[in-house]
Amino acid sequence: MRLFKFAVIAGLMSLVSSFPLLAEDDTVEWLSSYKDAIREAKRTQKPIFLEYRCEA
Amino acid sequence: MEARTFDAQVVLSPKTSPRGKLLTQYVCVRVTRMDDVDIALFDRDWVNTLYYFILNSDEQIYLRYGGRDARGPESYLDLNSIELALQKGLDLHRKYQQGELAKTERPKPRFPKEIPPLVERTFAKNQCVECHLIGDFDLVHKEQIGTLDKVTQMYRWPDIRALGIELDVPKGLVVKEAKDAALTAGMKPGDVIAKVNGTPVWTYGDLQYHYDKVPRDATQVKLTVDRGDRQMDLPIVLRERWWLTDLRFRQLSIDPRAEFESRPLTEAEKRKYEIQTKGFAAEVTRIGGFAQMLKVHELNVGDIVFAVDGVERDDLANTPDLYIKLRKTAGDTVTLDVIRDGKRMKMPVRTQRMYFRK
Repeated sequence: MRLFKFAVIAGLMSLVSSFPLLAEDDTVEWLSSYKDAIREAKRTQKPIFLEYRCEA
Repeated sequence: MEARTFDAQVVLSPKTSPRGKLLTQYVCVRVTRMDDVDIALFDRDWVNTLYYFILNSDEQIYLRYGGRDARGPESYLDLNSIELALQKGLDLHRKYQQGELAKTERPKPRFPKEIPPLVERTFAKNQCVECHLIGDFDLVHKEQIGTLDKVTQMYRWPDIRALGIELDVPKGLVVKEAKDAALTAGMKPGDVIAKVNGTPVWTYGDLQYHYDKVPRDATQVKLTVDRGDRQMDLPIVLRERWWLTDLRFRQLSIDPRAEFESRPLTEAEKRKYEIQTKGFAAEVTRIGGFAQMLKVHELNVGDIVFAVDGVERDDLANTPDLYIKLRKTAGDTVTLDVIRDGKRMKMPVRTQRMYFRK
């Protein structure tokens, strides 16, 4: 399964001038596929934290 | 905090931070394309660019986080309260795994591609399925096929502040101030709202979602609050038109915009003008910004409007502008009966449909 850090991190950080610069490995991992999240939750028995972000 | 900043703060949570430690106990997923969203399961106020769900792999939703009101899209976004939600989600998941939480019925899946005008507007043109378009075109479709109920569907997401409830947003559902009907029912600052008509709620998102389920003809809603060690049921009286909200920030194509607002006349004022005392006669208090530019009408502030297309009273509407919203279709031209400087006159109003935002 494809775990990855957001490609949008740089974009988000550029939008948030006060945001501290973080090394990728220090931050929480996010998936981008709901189906992958369901599979991963079944495998790990963890709950899912799902964010819907409609970006303009 | 702006939604984009809030989003960044959550997404980029350091693993070692309190929020990060909570998030690492979850499978975190961020979805930015709405094409394949199950809009029945993940139903929400679609005029939110940011919204969260906590659920399990059986697709049972434990709680919602997010929600907004007419003040702005960030009214209820707070980094403290999202941590409370994350903690509660873990508690509920443990209960679910231990069999202490009842399974809920999953709604029949429904997808954006099942909304024909949305397909024409976005999928067919390979355009982005923006969140608000899902809600907007769902209503357009309902209007087209004749199943639209404006009171429950156009006026979704009634505002709890109309009950007199001001939340202490960083603390989740802790009441900061209780006024009006909430105060009369016995609500106090420091109470924690725990249920809406018997359904548990954990966040403002839950509260908004379940408050919206209250039938529009209900005369009261029962809020259960935690107060110290006790739990109390507070039946709150719902005033007439309790479901009415400000639609101006919404981009509903079905909302016939008449570009004026008014205040209901008192019975004494209606008698003075010799118009029906049970009617929706009102004084114009505000002219919309597009009235002149789009030649919607020639009303002035202070005009008295007492009929729309010859109709002077309605079971629900207490003003002519509300009558138009509820009973007319966007794009209709209607005729108002107006009193200006003591003279009666007819005035056409060409209602507007919000095409230009699509």
